[in-house]
Amino acid sequence: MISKILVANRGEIAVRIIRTCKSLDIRTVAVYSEADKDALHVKMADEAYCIGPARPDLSYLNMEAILTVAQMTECDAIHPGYGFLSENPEFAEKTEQFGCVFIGPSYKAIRLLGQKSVARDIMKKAGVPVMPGSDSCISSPEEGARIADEIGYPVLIKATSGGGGKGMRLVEKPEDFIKLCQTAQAEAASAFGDDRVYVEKYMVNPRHIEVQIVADQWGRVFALGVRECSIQRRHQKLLEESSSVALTPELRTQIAETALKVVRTINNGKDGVIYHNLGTVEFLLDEDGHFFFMEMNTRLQVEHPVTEMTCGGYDLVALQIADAMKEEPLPLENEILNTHGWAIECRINAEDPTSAFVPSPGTIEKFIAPGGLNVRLDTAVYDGYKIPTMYDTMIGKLITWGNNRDEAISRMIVALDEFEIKGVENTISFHKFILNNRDFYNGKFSTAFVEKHYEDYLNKMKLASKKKD
Amino acid sequence: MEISQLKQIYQLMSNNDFDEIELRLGESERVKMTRSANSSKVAKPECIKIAETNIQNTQVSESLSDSTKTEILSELVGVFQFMDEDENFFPKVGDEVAMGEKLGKILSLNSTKEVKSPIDGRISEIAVKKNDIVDYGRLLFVIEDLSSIKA
Repeated sequence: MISKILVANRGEIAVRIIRTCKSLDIRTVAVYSEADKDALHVKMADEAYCIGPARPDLSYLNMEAILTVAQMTECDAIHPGYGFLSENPEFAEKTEQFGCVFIGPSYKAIRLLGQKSVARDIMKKAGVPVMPGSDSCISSPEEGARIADEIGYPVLIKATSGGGGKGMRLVEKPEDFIKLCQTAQAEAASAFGDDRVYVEKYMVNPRHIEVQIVADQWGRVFALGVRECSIQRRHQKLLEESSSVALTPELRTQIAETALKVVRTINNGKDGVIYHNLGTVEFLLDEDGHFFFMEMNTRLQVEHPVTEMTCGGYDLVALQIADAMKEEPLPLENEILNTHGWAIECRINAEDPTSAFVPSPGTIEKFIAPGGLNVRLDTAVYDGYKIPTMYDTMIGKLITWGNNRDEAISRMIVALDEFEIKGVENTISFHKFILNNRDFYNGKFSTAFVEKHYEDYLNKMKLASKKKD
Repeated sequence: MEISQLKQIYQLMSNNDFDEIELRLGESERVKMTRSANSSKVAKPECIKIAETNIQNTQVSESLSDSTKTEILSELVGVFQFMDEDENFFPKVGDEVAMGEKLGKILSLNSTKEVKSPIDGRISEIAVKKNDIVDYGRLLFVIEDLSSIKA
């Protein structure tokens, strides 16, 4: 039984988790840094404790402080949210050792899948399509260069412990390989304490498709629809959809089945790991409909609301808690869930899209949230709230649902028009630009969309500001 | 604010090795003082800050000339305990304490942090009880500066 949960996170995701806990009559404990003393999650939780100064390594990444609070307040479980400690196997292991439930997969599964090259090798052996590349990590830049010659340029050098584009380098010409490989290794060593890298063929203009997985401790695995996250900038997703215009119904089923196979492959491994709780299997899709396993994220995803809105209202956090209780199998039947309608999420960030998305922290002077039928806003921001400089720039996630993509887009445009934020620069205008773009509307886009259309956006903004004058 | 008070604040900064201090005096007045770092001093204890309540208006600032108070804040989250019987010290308001003297300890999951007086002084407030859960930055003790009292 879980009756009290410590939420080891901040911002909108902490608020979102606390909401579900309240609806399940579970008490909550918030932790916060000095910079977040006025944060919404602190106000909403039943109890809240300051665990350190603003610096994340001294607060939200401070395992000792978080576990101390969990112990002092007699929490049964810890929900890590996303980011921070959510994919840290050491934290998951320590939480379990200390007698608390870590709401997520087992630390063994997190550790296994956190090693991107190991996960890639396991999937390759199991017959899951992966991009051509090195078997496990390369032993030297020279070995990497030989492999790159074999598979053909361009190639990607990727850190095995990596994420968020760190320790990753695109190499277009053989003469650049050694130098860029050394840079990637140095960056990986400093960011992750692990300099091992592997080499993969680089797909030009891919689409990013991912499958939401839910699994329980009885080894049952379910796919809850697909998401397309191709609209991104420097590996940071900006807008997500469920489902994807790039997929025929057959291809969608194939990708979902492959994602199920990825999880079953882990469950059938020699080390006895059973993958449970949430997970996201990420794929790259080429223009001919070939898809390749990229990695699996072992946590709740930022863009999970688009899945919730197309999967008949399943609350993914509630499913996570139900799994963590270990009392009975999850209340799901179909391995591939039938989805309904279309959902879009726009991440509204405190950034200036007219100046290369430079962060714009500051005080929210006016905040008018959009609303109406099938409009959802996940945020931790309110009038007068000061966005701290130390953390991510997210103001909120705006999600709309429609019976089809057109309806979801129209509803999103109306919602963005309604949305008013004063005091900080924000990305609303850029989202409006995307939604009104013909290529986006026609589904003709890839991860290169933002780069391709950014100049056009700047010109439109200049024109609009001239008209105003 | 009087020059003499500014001098006292500067002395306090110097004693505690503060490089910068900002004071809010009521709604309208703010004073910010910066001094160049003295490399020969020990690192400043992070747990100390000047009690703002002392210097809110002119009347109270008179008391500044009699005594200066230093707050001791918790440096980590944990359970607070006064020194145990073996160490034979249970502080009371009015007790004189020496700089570095142990006042209590904070127990976290795997470590214990001693709470010590950062100055020679007198305990003017004990803001914590045995077994309190204290979070980072929570007020534990207020110590009056003995040197300023005697002066």
